[in-house]
Amino acid sequence: MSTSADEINDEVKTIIARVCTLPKETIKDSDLIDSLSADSIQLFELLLAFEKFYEIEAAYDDVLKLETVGDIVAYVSRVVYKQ
Amino acid sequence: MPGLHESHSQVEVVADTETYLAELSTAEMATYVTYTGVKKVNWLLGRMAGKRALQDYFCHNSPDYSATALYEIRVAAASELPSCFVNGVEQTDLLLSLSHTKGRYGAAVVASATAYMGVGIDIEIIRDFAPAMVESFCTAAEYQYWLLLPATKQAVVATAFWTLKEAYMKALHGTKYHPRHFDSLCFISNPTGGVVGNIKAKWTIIEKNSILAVLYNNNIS
Repeated sequence: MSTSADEINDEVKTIIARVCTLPKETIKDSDLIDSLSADSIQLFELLLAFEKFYEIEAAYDDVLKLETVGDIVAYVSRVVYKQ
Repeated sequence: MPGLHESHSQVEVVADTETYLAELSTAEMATYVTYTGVKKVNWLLGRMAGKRALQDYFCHNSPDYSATALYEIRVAAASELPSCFVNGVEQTDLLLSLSHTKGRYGAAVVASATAYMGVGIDIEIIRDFAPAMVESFCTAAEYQYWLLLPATKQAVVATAFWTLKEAYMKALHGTKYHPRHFDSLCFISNPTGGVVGNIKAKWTIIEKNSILAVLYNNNIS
């Protein structure tokens, strides 16, 4: 069973909402990742949460290029779901 | 270039921001008003710390120093390094790094680009870390050292590890290294200034609640 783009988008925003303690419905694809996290430590916690949820080890140089929530969704779609 | 003074500064949030705002250029003010909330405060703190560091640098290194000159920091894009300007003239021979934390502190370091390849500064609120988190960003040696610390020291040391690593990554211009690949342990026991290889670093506790780390990469032959 394939995972739809909407489901991936929802998964990503659920993780961001939990780690950054934000209401999920306020998170937009265009939001800058920097603006969602309180500090660089929380940003790193976010990376760890994604690695744990998707059982991946993200390439750190790839992760540094991600700027928006939409970039994370696209990264997860490509790396995890091969879409 | 040996002998040039390096400058770093730290500013604290103030109730009355008018003093800070009066020092912004027209372009900086135009950027400032686009932000809201903590991001707005953080941006202002970073800018003010940068201006203070620039003033201090020129005060120590330039015979033409003027306290009333316009010291300005411009960042073309979020992914680009900040540039320094004095009275509108870009100072291409300077390196600048900025940091701010949770609407409380701003910090900046300025140094000569002929003396260093990069400089990095980071300021973080001291916080508790779960062991798994510390293990995820530390080297094996750092993690073993941290595990053996009394519980009362673990928050400070883990925050210091992170702050030094963050400053290191900035000094390498957004290095692709994972934080766990930089061993900061050698600097922990020498907070007032240690040199290991091409790296010079120091760290300090501010107001019992935050840690400031400054790091210089002098890998210039």
